[in-house]
Amino acid sequence: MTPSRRLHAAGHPEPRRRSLIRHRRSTTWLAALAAGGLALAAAARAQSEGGSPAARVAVEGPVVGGGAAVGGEAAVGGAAARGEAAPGGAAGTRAFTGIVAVLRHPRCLNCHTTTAFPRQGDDRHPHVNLVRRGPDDRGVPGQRCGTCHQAENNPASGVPGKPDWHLAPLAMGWEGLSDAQLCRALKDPRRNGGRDLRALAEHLERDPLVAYGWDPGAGRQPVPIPREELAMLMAAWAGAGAPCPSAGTAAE
Amino acid sequence: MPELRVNGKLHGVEADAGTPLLWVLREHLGLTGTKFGCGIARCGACTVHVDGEAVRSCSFPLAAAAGREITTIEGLSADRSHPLQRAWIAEQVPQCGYCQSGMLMTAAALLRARPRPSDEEIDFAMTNLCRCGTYARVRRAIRRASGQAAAPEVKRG
Repeated sequence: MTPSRRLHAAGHPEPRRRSLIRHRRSTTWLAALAAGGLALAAAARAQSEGGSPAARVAVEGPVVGGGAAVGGEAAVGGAAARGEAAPGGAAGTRAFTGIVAVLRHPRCLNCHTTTAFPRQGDDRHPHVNLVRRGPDDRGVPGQRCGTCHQAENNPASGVPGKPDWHLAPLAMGWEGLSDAQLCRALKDPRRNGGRDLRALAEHLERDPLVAYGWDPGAGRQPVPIPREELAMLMAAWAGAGAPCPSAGTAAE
Repeated sequence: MPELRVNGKLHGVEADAGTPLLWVLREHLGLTGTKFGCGIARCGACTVHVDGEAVRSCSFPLAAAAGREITTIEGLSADRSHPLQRAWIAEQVPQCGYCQSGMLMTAAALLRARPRPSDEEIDFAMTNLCRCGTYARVRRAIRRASGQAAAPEVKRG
């Protein structure tokens, strides 16, 4: 077989890896909301205190990607004392801690940058090939995101793909934000793409490009918790009034 | 059998849907002007146009090409008269030439969107790799093709 033939053969798609997401029982955020915010807040607390390993990683584990975790109970208590968290805020803030661990993961943060370029890899280096954000967050003439990134991961080249690959707008950049700042940004329609909490939860649960976080292709780590667990955390956070940690508890 | 429109002609292609467009062009259609370099969408030697946008065909599956207009270096002009091709000759850009069809296709996509690109726009578009180091001549040729005076040469010494 000639080298080119071998490459040709290598270009044929491998059988898809079984998706963790697909084979898990789907728990939509709508269903979770219907079950009641307080119950879910309690569920999130239970998870954090001995629930699934994934949930423990999400709530207690280190934040990947240069961020810092909030200060746990002390931080939550301080926020509540200053009236920054709604009633039930402790559980809500705990849920947010799990959410922020996802948002700060390189699979998310690498394209939620505050820079004129995307980043790559778990070390979050600037994207090779001098890739630029461009005026529409989709690259520049001659080198668009779609020059390399197609609608699906490419097993032959290793280039990841999802439909309409692009950076989050600069207003939705999360780099350098403390937990409190990121929390406020997440709720601010001017900085979250004009979404209310319901639309925000839907974006995280269903957006095809966000799905990349859980299907990053071979050789890349997915975000630390399953997508439906993130949906549950979102529901718990929203059900508790979407409280934010107190300012100054953590900064990147 | 997926039908591909390449350089204005329809072709029936029997290949797996995930086959990189590059290999369909080269091995099924015999359009060998498009080159294989790295296979990971890094070097740009395989650049073609899909609906007028530069695409690295080593990472572009056949299935995604159906119904799209594909242009290769063979279709950039009928008689090598594209302004970029003329400028490439005038500036004697190529050395070994292997990467140059990809360079030309990227430059053509750039000029389509930016008829008079700045040097910065050229630099951010032209990320194709060239082991011969023709980058300065590439930039000069793009400036020439876009009707702009060449930037002053950097003085050495």
